[in-house]
Amino acid sequence: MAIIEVKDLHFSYEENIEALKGVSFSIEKGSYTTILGHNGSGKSTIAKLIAGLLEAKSGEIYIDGQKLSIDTIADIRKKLGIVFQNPDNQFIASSVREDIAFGLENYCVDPLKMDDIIDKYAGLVGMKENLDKEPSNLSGGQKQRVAIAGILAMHPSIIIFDEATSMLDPTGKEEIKKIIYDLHGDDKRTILSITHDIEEALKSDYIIVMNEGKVYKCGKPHEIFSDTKGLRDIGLDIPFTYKVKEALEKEGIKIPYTDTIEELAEVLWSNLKA
Amino acid sequence: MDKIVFGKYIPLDTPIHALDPRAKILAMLVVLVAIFLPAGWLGYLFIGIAIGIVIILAKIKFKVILRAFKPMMFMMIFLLVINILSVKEGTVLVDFDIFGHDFTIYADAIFDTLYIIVRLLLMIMITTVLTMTTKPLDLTLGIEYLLTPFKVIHVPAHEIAMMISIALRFIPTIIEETMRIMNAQKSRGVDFEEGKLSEKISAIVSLIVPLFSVSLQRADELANAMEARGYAPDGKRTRYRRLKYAFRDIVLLGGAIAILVMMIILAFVI
Repeated sequence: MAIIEVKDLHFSYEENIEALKGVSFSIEKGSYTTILGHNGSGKSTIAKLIAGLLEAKSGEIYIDGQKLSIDTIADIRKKLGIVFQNPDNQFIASSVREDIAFGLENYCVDPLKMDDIIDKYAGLVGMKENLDKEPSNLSGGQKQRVAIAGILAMHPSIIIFDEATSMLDPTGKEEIKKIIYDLHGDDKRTILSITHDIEEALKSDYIIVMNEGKVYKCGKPHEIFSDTKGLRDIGLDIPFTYKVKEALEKEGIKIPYTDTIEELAEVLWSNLKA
Repeated sequence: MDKIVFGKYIPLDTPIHALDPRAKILAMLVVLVAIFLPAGWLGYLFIGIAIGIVIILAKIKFKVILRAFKPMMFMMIFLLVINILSVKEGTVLVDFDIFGHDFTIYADAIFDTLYIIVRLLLMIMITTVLTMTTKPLDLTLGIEYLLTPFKVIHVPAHEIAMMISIALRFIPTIIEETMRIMNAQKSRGVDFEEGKLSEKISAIVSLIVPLFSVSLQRADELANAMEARGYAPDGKRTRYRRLKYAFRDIVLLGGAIAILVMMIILAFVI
């Protein structure tokens, strides 16, 4: 069942320059979907349109069967949360505790219940020890974890990550990616991740490749990354394991598709033994 | 940045820190009114002692308070010069000749300046104590609570408090951003310290333009993040932090009102 449906979406930041040129796709409930594309391909615009932060020129967006409009935006926002790129610009309050409470206050949650909710979700992202810390005393990865806790506290069924790891150091990136995988694996939430990270995309259920404001290709990771030429033509990289397979094939050695270095090593070792 | 004292919260566990921010703001306003009453030196001595007791109870070192006076030094000297040049009443203290011009300093000029300076210092002391003993968030929460009754005359209490809270939250971020831009411009050869006035102005412009651009972008992203988390300025909200008056707050307010009454007596009755 599709939880997000985007139909023939058009959007322009400036007149006569279309950022989105008739984008259509659907995302299954409980799936982990990544949107890949180079800068300016329209990835983040899609995220903002789905979250109702921008208004489309034409086209329709359905969230859980409900059409996104001015009248339904408040209801729809309760169903989805969005984690943005810059960890600093989404830390609203002066402490971790208050920041997680911000969304709860907006949804009129009983203040007496807030402490328990804050503790639960801060614990889930490993920030329980830092509840009284100010944003200036937190790393980028920690701030991003607080943003995730703030969103989880509002119980959305869909979480959008808009290049949420791109401004983080390698440790921060790994921390956030692990939380994303856990949210999908354990919580069965619908995850939509807008990313440049090919390796992250490889772990998702579906990939939507954007190019010049249009959907270039949709499909499972194998289907997407097997089109190495097409991806390179639109300026995208391909995963390391696919590059190795491609290089070996040029030498006449055929190996199956693999997603991780470990799988690749195993395949190569079996080939060597054979 | 560490030298900035005014407005910097010092986290300590003292009875003054534990006071309700509304009581502290109200007490400060009452004492500020008292400071403006012409109660004479005795009155100001009394207020000074009262503030001194609060500073001791708040465990704030007097040298930290003195550091808060530093930025006001220029203003005080400027006041003295203006008063020396404009006040021509009272006993003549000094009379001398500069390049053929007769120059006289009157006692009232010095007296009036000291009077204003003492008032200024007392004001700085009390506001510094307030900001040093109250978390910025508590301060804005206190302001929001105090402004709430004015909603009936359409004062946007919540919006004002939210603006102050966000401004306070982003001060360190903007300072960090300023430093980053300054360093980037320095690496391109911009000199912020040396050079002619025109060069300095051009250096400042090279700092201000990108800083404004980045800040506006930041504001846009922050607005998106707030909206995405269900924030609507005119929407109904609950409050995570709730304030409750305690007995110690009544004692503080009582003390502030007693000071005001005493100043009124000293100014208009005795």
